[in-house]
Amino acid sequence: MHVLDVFLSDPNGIIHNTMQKLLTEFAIRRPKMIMVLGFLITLGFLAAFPSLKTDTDPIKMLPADNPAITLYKQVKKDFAINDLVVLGIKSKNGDSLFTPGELAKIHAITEEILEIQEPPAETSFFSEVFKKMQFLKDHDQVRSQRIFIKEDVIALSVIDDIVKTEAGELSLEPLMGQPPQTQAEASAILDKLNGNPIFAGKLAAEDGSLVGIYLPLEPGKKDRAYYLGQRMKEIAQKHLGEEQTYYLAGLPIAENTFGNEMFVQMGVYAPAAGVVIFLLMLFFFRSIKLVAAPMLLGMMVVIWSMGALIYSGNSIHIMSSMIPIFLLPIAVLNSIHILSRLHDNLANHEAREDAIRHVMKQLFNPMLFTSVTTIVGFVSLATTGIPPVVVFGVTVGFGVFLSWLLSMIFIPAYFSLLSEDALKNFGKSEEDKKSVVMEVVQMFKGIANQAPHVVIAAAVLTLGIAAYGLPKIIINDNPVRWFKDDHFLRQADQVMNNKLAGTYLANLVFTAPKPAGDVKAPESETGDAFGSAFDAFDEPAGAPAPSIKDPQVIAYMEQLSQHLQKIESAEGARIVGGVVSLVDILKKIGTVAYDDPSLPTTREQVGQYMFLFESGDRNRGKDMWKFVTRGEADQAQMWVLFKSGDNQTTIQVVEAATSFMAENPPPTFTLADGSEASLKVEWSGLTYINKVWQDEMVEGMIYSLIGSFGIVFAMMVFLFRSVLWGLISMLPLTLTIMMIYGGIGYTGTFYDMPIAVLSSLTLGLSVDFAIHFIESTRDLHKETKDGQKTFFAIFDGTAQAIWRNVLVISIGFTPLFFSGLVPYMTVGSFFFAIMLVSGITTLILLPAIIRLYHRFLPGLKPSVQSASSLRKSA
Amino acid sequence: MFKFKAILLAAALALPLSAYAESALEIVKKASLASYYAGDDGKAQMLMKVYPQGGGKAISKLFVMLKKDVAEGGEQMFLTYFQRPSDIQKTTFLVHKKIGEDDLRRLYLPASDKVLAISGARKQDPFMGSDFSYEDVSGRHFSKDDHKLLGEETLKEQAAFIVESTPKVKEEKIARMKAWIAKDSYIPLKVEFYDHQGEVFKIYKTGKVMEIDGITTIMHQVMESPKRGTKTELLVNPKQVAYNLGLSESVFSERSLKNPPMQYIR
Repeated sequence: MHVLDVFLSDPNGIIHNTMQKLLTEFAIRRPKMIMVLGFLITLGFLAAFPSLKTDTDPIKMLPADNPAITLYKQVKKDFAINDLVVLGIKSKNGDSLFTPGELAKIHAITEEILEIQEPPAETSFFSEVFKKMQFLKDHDQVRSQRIFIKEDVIALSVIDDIVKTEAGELSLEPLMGQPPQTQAEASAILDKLNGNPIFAGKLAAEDGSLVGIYLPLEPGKKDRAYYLGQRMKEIAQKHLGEEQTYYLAGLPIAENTFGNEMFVQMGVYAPAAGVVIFLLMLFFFRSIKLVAAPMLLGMMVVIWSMGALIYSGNSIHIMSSMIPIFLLPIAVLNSIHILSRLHDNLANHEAREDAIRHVMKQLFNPMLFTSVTTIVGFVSLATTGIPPVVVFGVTVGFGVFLSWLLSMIFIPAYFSLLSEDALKNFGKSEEDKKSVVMEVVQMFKGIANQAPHVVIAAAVLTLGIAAYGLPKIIINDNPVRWFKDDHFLRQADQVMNNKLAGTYLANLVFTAPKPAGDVKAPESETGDAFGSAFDAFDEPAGAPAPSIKDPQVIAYMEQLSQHLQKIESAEGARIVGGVVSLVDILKKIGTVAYDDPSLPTTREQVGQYMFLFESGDRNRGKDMWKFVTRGEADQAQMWVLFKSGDNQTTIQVVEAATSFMAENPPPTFTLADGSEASLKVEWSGLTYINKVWQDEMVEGMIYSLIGSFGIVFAMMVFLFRSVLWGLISMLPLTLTIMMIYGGIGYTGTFYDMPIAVLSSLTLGLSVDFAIHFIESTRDLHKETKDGQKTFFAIFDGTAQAIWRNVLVISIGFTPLFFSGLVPYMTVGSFFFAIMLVSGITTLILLPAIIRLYHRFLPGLKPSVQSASSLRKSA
Repeated sequence: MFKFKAILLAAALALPLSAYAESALEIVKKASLASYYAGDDGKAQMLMKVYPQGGGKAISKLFVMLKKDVAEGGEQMFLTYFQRPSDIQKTTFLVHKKIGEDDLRRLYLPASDKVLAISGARKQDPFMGSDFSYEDVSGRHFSKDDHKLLGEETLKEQAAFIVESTPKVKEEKIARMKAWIAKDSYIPLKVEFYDHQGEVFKIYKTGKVMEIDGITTIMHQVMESPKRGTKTELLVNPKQVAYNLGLSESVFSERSLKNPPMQYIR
């Protein structure tokens, strides 16, 4: 038949009927072509995989134009903040490392680490020629060989300490130029360190049992953190004895390690889940050739979607790395439905093609709707505005569409290509044995039939209990928690935060108001026309421009930092382990220069203290410029070191700072035009950004969930042409979402990004069960015209298919329980829970409702039967 | 017999080399005198602009520097009086540059009204937080290095000697220096500073040069630190530069820190 004939011969003329026929006929007539095409397209997308890039940078969690990101980038540039890789060396028994012997080791380790460079590139004839041609660009090459900024390394043997020499002269001496010879010298180093507010508690534990080496990465070298970490590890292992141990830490290491482990998870656990699913299906359908179809389909969907993602230029984030895991079950579910129906219908038809036509016609509507609802669930994630979540949602949505399309074409084509042999036992296999599936489904039938009131009451009660648990949910996403407790990064995190001031850095940014009418052009290079440079230098008359150098600003910064350090957790532990700012530098200068730690009280004094530090410093005031901008000093930042990266900590500190500032408003300046403007105080830093995107995520997820819930409900009403049925179809997913999130509230599991997106999955999958269930209930009723018969018939066909799906997916994801990364474990266990809860709800609650209220339900109305007669016949 | 020949050969080879070496030293001596010992004393208003990494906003300092040569090519005294930015106005800095021993450095901060003694041990330390070191500003003594003439080259239409200088005693930062010295004025036009990795860590360049009181004076100097990505410009105000004012040694005493000789500074 010609394609056009199909179109014309469609008596109903309904577009989707036509579409269904087109697809099905295409599948039946051109199966080989479909197989070849499928193979070629898969190859095409597979070609994208070598260019796969991972990106686990937390600032990518927010759009680049988010104000928090803009400020962070500005602060990072203005204060020359680089990402740090940290090596922590610790004595196992807690003794001080400040002994001549240990310090000699640490000195040697530091010296060797400082020499780490990129490994030399493989040389070939061409690279040599190229190198010679590039002779003049030697600097660039030297620069590209550096992984970290050697000049900015912070370690005992490279930092300076301002001291007063015996002659009474101020001098900047290396803290530990050479390893000390005596114990007294060694102890003196720790004392000096603890007396230096900038480094105390950061470079070494106050008891000396832990010493850190901080390497700031060269910009653009973040992806080398893992390599650097490995080299540092080798060096530490070489020098350290039995009594010491070492830790690697720092965000770039965590990101890099996570990126590497993500590949392992994708490469091991997603296929493992696939294998388990395959085995389970084999158990149910007893035919490798048949079961291979959904597996092939699953692989095609995953490869096409991921390939499209990579071709689109997106890098793989934690969320997108889970796309295969989300797509696999969805793809398999669709094909299981078709296979189950074919399985049930094969015996009723003479020709296999007719069986396919019949099943595809029957399933087209439910398949279309289940797919569209799932797509809605995932694509709605695009409204959250969190880039990785958007990419995830859209890609999964695309994958679901592919899965629908391929189920419509590939599965029937594959089925029609199978030899008679492969199908011989297919239609009959289940009949000879009472399977576990049957027994459980029969049990569900019993419950729904015998105690429908109890079922409904239990559902209402569950909803109530779950609703009570919702407010208990703690929103907390700390990337370090993505690793398991026993992971080296979690251990390092724990030890370092226990021993040091804190490794989670938030920044408080202080900005002085712009002077009124300030239109000074940025200073350009002087060049030859320098005579005018002297005239241009004259400052405007009147009040000096607002500046951080103002003593009231300095005093305010000190008050705020003292207030922050007093914040305690509910258990009475300190939350902020340390605060460092210009205040500490000024105190240090006062102490060394004048034996007076009190803060300067005039603007000139502040300026001259800073001048002294800058001009006396071997590093030209580098440490000071980390805290205040040069020149007019219109901006300063404060390091606030948290002992935990949990966003609950950040919230507590931010709230404490806000209430402090409400009670003690920041100082104000009188501008040249007589107006008043106050000092601006803002939060920045990765730890704070983490909190910002979590706030956005929660809000975004709520809207996304409500929005897609509404859309799905409208679709259900449209599909069933009934508000009542629409409401009923929403019950399994409502109950599942409520139970899952209520459970999260009660168990105290942190609500993080992977858990947040699970609501979309639930929305997509739970409603599928309901659609299949209701659709086939109504179909059956058309045949039986009898509520009683319908009720029982449903448990013979569709209910079994649904339960098989539940088992395949929930058990299929158990391998994820053993994953090394927490988000994968979480997703695995929630898949398990979502499938079970929504499956059971669909198979017990929906029948119980039908059982009790079928007389009110459209499509079931004609056969009004008394409840007692139903029970009798059961 | 063989030994004798070898010595002869060595002597023959060494002759032209030593002739070169001597002239290299001469060139460096003349360069040092031209750029650091012009006049017996002098004053200049200077503007120092330090550009941070990434080419952000420069920090500028305006000051007047008085100088007196105690011995030609030897000890020198400097008094610096800061004028801008306004919060360091009246801050003074006294340096007695010594040869072969630590400098004397004294800083007076008016807001605290105290004179601070600053260690003068490290002459390679940065001068006032700039890319210039104390030695770059006040001059490195030629006796600290071995000098070798590498050749001649025309740099920006100026004929120049290329001299390589290597510290006699190993230093922390400098492994060697390569200088382009103008043949006519003996003003250094460009100097490259190499570290122990053999990489350039600082590049000095002379900008504008003017005749002041008949003395060739460098009005614009630039020092770049390619590894740090920073740069400093040092400019002399052409209206505020003079030589041979007859400054006495008392002008450079510690008393002048609190009571600077305003008649010379104005």
